[in-house]
Amino acid sequence: MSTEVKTLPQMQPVVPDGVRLPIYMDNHATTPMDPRVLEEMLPYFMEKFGNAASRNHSFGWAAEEGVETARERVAKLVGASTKEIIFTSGATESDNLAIKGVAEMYREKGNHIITAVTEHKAVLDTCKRLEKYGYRVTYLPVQTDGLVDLDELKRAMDDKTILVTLMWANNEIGVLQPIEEIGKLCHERGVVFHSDATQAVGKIPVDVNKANVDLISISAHKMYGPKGVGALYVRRKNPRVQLAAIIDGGGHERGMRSGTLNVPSIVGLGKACQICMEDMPQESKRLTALRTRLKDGIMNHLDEVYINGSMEHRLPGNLNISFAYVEGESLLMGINDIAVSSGSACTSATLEPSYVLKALGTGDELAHSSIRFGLGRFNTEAEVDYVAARLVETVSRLRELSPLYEMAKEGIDLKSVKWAAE
Amino acid sequence: MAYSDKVIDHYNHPRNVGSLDKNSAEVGTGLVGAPECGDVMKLQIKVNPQTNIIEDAKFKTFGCGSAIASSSLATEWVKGKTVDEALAIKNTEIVKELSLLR
Repeated sequence: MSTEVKTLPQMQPVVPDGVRLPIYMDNHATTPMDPRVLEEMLPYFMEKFGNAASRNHSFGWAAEEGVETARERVAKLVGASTKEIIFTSGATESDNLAIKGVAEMYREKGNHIITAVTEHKAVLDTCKRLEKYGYRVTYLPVQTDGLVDLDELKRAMDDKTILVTLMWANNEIGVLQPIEEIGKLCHERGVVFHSDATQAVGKIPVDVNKANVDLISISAHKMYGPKGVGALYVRRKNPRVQLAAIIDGGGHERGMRSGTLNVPSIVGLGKACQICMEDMPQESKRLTALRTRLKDGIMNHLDEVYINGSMEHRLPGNLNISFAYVEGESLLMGINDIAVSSGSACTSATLEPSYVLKALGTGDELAHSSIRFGLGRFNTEAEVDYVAARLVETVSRLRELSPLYEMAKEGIDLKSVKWAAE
Repeated sequence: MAYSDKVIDHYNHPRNVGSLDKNSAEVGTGLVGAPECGDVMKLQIKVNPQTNIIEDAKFKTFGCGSAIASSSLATEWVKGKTVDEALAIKNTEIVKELSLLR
């Protein structure tokens, strides 16, 4: 006897009015530029093209004015003073400068660095490189909700600890670390505290003094600014933090980052910060509501769907869900008019599924089944409804195709199966 | 990496999805892969004991688009063949047919 499964025809939800395909819902990867940012940048390509370091003519002064306005706007967004903002090529460079800069500058004080396993590769791989040069690195585990255990952090600190680097908001699961408490711990012990705040700045309130943080990495293209530009906040008092430069040259940016300033992009970063600051209260409320709508639209119609990471301590626009018994890449293929990311190994260059999800204890099979949604400024309710409907339809179809779903429905415990890998 | 049109066609219109009665004496069931590796394939064939011909084939696959397409194509190819003929099908032939290595 054969049981034929009807997988055809595919039921495509109707595209509602006002929804244009493809839909972009991958705002943790990058964001589209806000038109107001582009408008602010344009004069700095041709009319105000000067070198911001040219001190003796009006072309230089115009460029410098643009840069300094941007510096004020970045500083204001994070509660810093203008002298504490160093422009870089982006958050990866900022992470490198912060970590390598502290490691070199504080070498006589100690050689121990603490970070966590769920950090971005820009932090993890920088730490790994330092291990080659004689530094000792502790990679803290995280709890099942994605948060670092403060007691673990306390226990990891010793008299050789010079730096703690823990991200503000995670790029995959949007989970927010207890930054204020971590900062307090670090300052009590005289340890420099760096936070990769790439996903947080512009999305949630970030105040460097309230958080007792000494260094934060900032990126423009995650907050509707241009790619290839970012900043590093470097604390100047209580305590004064010093960095060894990694790019030497003309001594720009207080000697911490040489190289002619990328004026148009810096102007764009500044404008992006200004807009984020003005819009944040209503924007974060709107995104939280959209996120709830998306979550309900999916979870009210599908069983065995799991949220990865804390819902309480989370960025407004982030949702990371595992759809049991469905492989992430095949799911992305089925929703190819929607741009999202998956923790599946098939979508990345490595063979391992998301190391962030694995660190939560999610299990490889659910990590392979995960989708990251990143809602942003330009997403609408109509888009969210369409995405939820497409997902429900595609997951249901793929589950009909899934031997795992069939076995689970037959009551077979998948953990008890002796799998025969090829 | 973009998939070939053939992979997309098998993904959108998988052939022979389903299950055969695994308790039947004429049905053989194969299950390979592991959920934690991101690929599990179940392939079943129904063999006529007199002729040794594969009269029916069904699959279910958990895996990426190319895994789904490969199993779908495999069921198409083995149907109507004798068991020995089916055993002669090489994985490289499936790779070639679906242009998986490009």
